[in-house]
Amino acid sequence: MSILESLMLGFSVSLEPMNLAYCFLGVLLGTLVGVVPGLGSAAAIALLLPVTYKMSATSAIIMLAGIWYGSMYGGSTTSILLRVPGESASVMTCLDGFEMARKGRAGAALGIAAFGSFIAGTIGLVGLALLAPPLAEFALDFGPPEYFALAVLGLTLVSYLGSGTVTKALAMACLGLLLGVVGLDPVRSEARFTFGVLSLQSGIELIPMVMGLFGMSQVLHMVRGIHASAEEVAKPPKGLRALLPNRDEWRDATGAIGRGSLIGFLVGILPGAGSTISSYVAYALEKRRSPHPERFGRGAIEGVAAPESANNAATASGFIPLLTLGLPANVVMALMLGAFMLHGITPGPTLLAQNPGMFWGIITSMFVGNVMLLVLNLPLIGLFAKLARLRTQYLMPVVVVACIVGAYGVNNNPFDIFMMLGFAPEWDDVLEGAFSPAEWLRAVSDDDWWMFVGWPVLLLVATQTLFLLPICARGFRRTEQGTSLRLSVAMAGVVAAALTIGLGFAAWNLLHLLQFELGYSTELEYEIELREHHRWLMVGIVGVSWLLWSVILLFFARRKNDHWVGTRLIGLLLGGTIAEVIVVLPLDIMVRRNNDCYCSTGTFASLCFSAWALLWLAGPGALIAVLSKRRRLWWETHCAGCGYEKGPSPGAKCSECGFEWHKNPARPT
Amino acid sequence: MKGWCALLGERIGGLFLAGLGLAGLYIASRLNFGNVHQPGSGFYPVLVCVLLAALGVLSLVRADKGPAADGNYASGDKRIWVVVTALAVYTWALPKVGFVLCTVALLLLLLRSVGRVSWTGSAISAVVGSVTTYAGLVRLGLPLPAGLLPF
Repeated sequence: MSILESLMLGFSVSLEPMNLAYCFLGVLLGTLVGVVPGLGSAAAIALLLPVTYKMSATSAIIMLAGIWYGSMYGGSTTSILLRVPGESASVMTCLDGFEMARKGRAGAALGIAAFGSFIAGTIGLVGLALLAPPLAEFALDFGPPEYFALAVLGLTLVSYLGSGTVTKALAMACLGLLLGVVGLDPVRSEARFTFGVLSLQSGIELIPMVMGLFGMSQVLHMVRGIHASAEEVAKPPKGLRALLPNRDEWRDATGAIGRGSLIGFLVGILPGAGSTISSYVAYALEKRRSPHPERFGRGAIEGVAAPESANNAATASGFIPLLTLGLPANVVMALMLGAFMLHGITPGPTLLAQNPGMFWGIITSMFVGNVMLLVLNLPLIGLFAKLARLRTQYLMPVVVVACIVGAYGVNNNPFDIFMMLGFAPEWDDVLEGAFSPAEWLRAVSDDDWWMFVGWPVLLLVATQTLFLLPICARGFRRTEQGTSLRLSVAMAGVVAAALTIGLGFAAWNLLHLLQFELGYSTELEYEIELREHHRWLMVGIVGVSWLLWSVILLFFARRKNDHWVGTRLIGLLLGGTIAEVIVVLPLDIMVRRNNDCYCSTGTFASLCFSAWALLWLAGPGALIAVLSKRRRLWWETHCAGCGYEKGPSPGAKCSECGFEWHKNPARPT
Repeated sequence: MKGWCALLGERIGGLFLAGLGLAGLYIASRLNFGNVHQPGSGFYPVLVCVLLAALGVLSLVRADKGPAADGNYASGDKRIWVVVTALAVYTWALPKVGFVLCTVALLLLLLRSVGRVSWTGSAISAVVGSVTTYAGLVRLGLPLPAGLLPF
């Protein structure tokens, strides 16, 4: 089916009267949710999840998606007029939007936010429509190990990009994994962590959990800030003409909208990033590239256009991992995943093949919803500005009752309300974690667990995760009198060892292939049959390699002179990490799809060689690059002559060796 | 540098996670562990609990590092505890007393005590809100408990 036919199919679904009505309801509710401070889109979607029970799956997702991108539109109104972000993604809009409003340009700010959101949303949707089908087709070849690796990567990124410390974020993800195992074991039907409670045997219900995580935690937030109000309110513009930016403003904002859309689209795909981070990145980029960065924060229209465009583009691209891989990129997408599951549909690569009408219907409904939002937002801005001043005293009881009814209605059981209360503290990462145990279990139950290290795609993704883990550990990047440098080196050694074992596998594969090609063997077994002693050998190689790499990296870390060939090489190797993903992953799948066996295709040898060479080279390169920063910091606190620690108040020269620091305080040559 | 209250909160949080991990480990250890080829019901929970306990200990040790947590309810408002306690009591009383009476009481508390809305406004909102919600949801087919009331 061509893309045009697919879009036609989608529009035939999304333009059905019922779906159109739900789309309108979704965007209207979304705008209201965005406008009213204190109620986020995640909370609103969580509250409405039980309502979707009786709807068709397509209508339900269309409505919930409408809330999500509608809230992005609505969030900008309060940011600009009240300096109160209705959504976390609109925080950056406050800075310049409110300043513009104070200068009497509220209309232009609101207009550019609406037009920018519309343009970016449309760009994001075009990207989604073009990228999602090939990605879904590509992902059809993924098996449980690949999904598990992707889930681990997602959790790592969530921990890395999440707020607070990495340790806490990882702990919350672990807690989510633990909650995922409550109930009957799917393979052996043995009760786990149910404590004899019958209600827990089917696992923790999704709706009470999300009601607690998003609805009740929102209530607690409201209770905390219940008597706070906006100090200053800008006047909303009157008439549609007042919403049109002038020619100069359009000229300044056009580039920002384009760049914001692109950044939003790319950042939105990343697990854990989402619309909030994309708006931060877009704002920072605009400020950095502007010839007059001092204008930012004082009413620069680019400061409104870029973040508003980015957050809307990110909402569209956030659907890509969900619809194609079944992986939620952020908490709202995790709720969407829950909505799909409530209707007995598992989003992922098979969604397009099995439910093309639904897949394209959801995508095209967002086009329709974007147009609705533009039409809805511009004339009703005055009304929304009044709604934005709705007192939380009245909103809070409504949310409480909705949460109670939603949680109770699942099984008509008060236990679910208790369950909801248990999730009321902010444990957002928990939800991300709650979805991956099933893939892990499938992966280890289907086959020998050594498959985890034998499959190239899996190993590539897993290795990326391994890079991220030490990098995201903040202690790794900071130095405190250089004391934990050895720990960094040891961690780097572990990762490098994992890479070395990967190289070992590559060599093994290559040897088999050469035997086959040169005629020494007529049969080529790609699947490596590992015997027990081979496994211990692998463990031994990892151990030896770890020690070896630790010595090499320690040598590098203690090296005083920065001007050597290795440092230049590091930059090149770092680029290799990106090249590795871009080149090797699609190649690997392409070759695998051509035939059941890699070996029958001519590209196998080059693929095998280049993949592992890149993996091996790029991996240590990334680690060394991190280490070099740490190394520099270490030398700043130690004598460059003898390595003696300078202490809190160093004199002019080293008390140990007499080296004069002021001549070259960091590193002597 | 974190204040002693924030530091205490961080330490309690770390301790809680570590304790949860260890308790989970104790429970999971009674399940069939299996082996790496044939993992049992307890295999995965044991791994996760070990990780959780380790991260809890790490949080405890590194409590003085990193930014202070924003959502520290413990140090905040009494109103939060009023809401949480009220909801717990509400849940306990719901099957016995019924939806309408429980919800009227809860809304009255939330509006008057937490939201500081006038007595009259709170009472009218609570009664109207509860009765209309009950009537609407029962009509939609959700069997909410009637409790002490005859309808």
